[in-house]
Amino acid sequence: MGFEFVVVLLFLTTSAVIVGIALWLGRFLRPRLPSAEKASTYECGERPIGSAWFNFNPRFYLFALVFIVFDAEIALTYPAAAVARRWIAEGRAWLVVAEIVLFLAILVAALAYVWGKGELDWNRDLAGPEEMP
Amino acid sequence: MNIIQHVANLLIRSVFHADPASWPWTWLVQAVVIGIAAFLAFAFVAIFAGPVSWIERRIAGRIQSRIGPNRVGPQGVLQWLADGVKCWLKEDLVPAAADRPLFLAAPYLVFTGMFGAFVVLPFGAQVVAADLNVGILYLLAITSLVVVGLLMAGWGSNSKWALFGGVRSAAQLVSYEVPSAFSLLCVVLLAGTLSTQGIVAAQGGWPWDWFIFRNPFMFAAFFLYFTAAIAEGNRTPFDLPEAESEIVAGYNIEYSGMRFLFFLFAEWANIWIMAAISAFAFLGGWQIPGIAPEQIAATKGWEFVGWQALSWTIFLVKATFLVFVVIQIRWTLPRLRVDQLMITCWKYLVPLSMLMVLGVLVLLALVPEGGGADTILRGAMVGLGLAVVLVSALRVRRTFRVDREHYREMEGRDLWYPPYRLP
Amino acid sequence: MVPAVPPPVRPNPVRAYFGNIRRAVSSTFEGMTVTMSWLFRRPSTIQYPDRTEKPVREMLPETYRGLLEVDLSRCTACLLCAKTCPLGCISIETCKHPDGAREFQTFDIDNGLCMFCGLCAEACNFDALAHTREFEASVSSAEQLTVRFVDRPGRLVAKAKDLPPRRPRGSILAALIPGFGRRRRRAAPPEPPASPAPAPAAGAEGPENPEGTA
Repeated sequence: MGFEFVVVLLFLTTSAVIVGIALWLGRFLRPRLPSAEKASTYECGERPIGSAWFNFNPRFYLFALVFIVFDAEIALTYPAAAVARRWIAEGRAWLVVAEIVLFLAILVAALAYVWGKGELDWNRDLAGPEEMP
Repeated sequence: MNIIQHVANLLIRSVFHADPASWPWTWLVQAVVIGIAAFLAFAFVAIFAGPVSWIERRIAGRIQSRIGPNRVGPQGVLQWLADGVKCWLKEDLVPAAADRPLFLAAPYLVFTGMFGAFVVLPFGAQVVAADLNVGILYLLAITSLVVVGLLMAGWGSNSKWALFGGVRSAAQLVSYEVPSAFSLLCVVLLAGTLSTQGIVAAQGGWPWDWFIFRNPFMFAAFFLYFTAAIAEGNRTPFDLPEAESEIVAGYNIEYSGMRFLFFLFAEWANIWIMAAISAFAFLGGWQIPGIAPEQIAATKGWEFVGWQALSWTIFLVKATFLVFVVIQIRWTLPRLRVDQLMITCWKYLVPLSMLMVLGVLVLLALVPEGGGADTILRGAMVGLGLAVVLVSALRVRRTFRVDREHYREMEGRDLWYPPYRLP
Repeated sequence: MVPAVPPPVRPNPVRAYFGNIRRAVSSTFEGMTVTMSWLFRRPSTIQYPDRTEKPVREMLPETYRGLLEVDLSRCTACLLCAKTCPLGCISIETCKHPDGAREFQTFDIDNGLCMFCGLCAEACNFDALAHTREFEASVSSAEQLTVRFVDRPGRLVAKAKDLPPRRPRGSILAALIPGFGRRRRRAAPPEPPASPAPAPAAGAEGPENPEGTA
């Protein structure tokens, strides 16, 4: 098995090297005429006001959190799913079904909670009604 | 044994006349063979991604009742080459306000994340670069590298458009990862293995042996996976990260020349990868109808090569068909709003794909494979699939016929103009 | 009296949920069949400029405001056009001979600046300055956008009393910049017998040259 992962590593390295070589070879072909106008940030012809590194919508953060919970759970379910067939053949169907249903139940509970809280609705007032002017 | 070790051993025996087991340079030859394999995969990506971009533009033209690019080379087949050379000759700009290391590194991550998926794609009966025992998990993990690259590009550009594109695409990609992972979980349940070759081996050449037609839940899981895969590939109707009418071009707006090309390249190759994953996980992969994989492995010489070539062709045809479907969807459906996008994922795809996992699990426990109920289920699903194909063909014919009459009255010409007759 | 607003009908959320799924599937299916049928239809556009029956500029109306041209044999250098132009894209210079006659030094029109408003052509009293139907004005460098109409030294300014007839519109521009905006035309592929025969390749009408002789 170790060999297979060496293949993966070498594949990834090769792909990065290919990108690097293509960019490096292009250096000899492409022009290089820098100017302040070209180096400015593109905003459809307007002069950009301030930096783009500002606070963006916190809903992205909420979705990222929900995703982490789900993805960790799914990653833990995969081993159970991989052995499900063998265990059913060996007569331990109830065990694997109970296991996967347990995992799914946790996720359903999480999803129901998030859904009920309204966190899945994009268009909603994050500040809450009492803070509105 | 791995095909790369096979080739390396063959090389060592025939060229260096040494015993691969005891020869001290075996690892070097193997590394070289892996490098060559990676380069072949890259060539495949390049040769595939280029013409597909031309084909998409021609199809888009026909669907929109126009002609499409036909200037460069005969009928424009070299358009992609012209685009590539043009991008290569363009100046490489880095905005003064950008975070330089992040900005420069982003194309590497996006391309590597895309390319890593090729390691485990089962192209033919014995042809896979590395048959990992965690294949599906590896696929899910390595494609997430693209998210990191897109976020780096979006944040590093220090442009408002790029930032919105970057965070949108990150939110979209991670969200749709959940339903696609659940749908692949159904496949893993049925196959009993995470290895990609194992999943193909668990299916068969005939449609009723494919996972998609195993039971109704798998049938639905295929479409759920396909939808999620389109979203993960940033394709229309889920192309919000690069919605040109809202945020100009999204995360790649500050990129120019070759760096920009690598983003596009990764996007085109991603279509192919998700079509290939759908093809091997649900549509039987390279399996040849009527020939078991063991029979192929037992053959020798040119016969073996012939069977291999046939299995390659079958896999490529299935994947290319799905690529065509993705292209057609792009020119059919309008773009979703960002709230609709999130609702589609979390309120519809996620619960439904969970339901499919549960259904597949219960059927797996209750319906013994090969029994009467299993046969009936498979037959019914194949019938359903045929019915879908037939009904859609009839609908296409009816839509065409209605307009044909109008067209003849108005223009005095026949409307019929098949796709193979290029204008 | 204000009519009572009926209370909003709130659909059953469960029915709405499954109705959404059903609609998503059916509308996608319907849309896919429609776009698929368009793959078999004749495109409604014509390849420009190869397959049009005659050059596009000949299909344009006479009043089309294309590139400006001036017939110097009718121009009295009154400078009305240059003064009317809101953008100042026309520049005219003359010098005076000892015998009283005036000679053109420059008569340049900067097409990169011109917005084709037509005020100069309105101002011209002698039909010297006029719009043509030429519109394919792409050139490979910005300098070429300025058209210089004084083709030889010693072009005298016309007298308003005896003006020669106006030369056909477009002929001056075509003679000045051969190949300007003239794309190569290619014959259409054979059409099926049911449809009318396409026009033959019209490559050699008027003073037109093949591409690339500029």
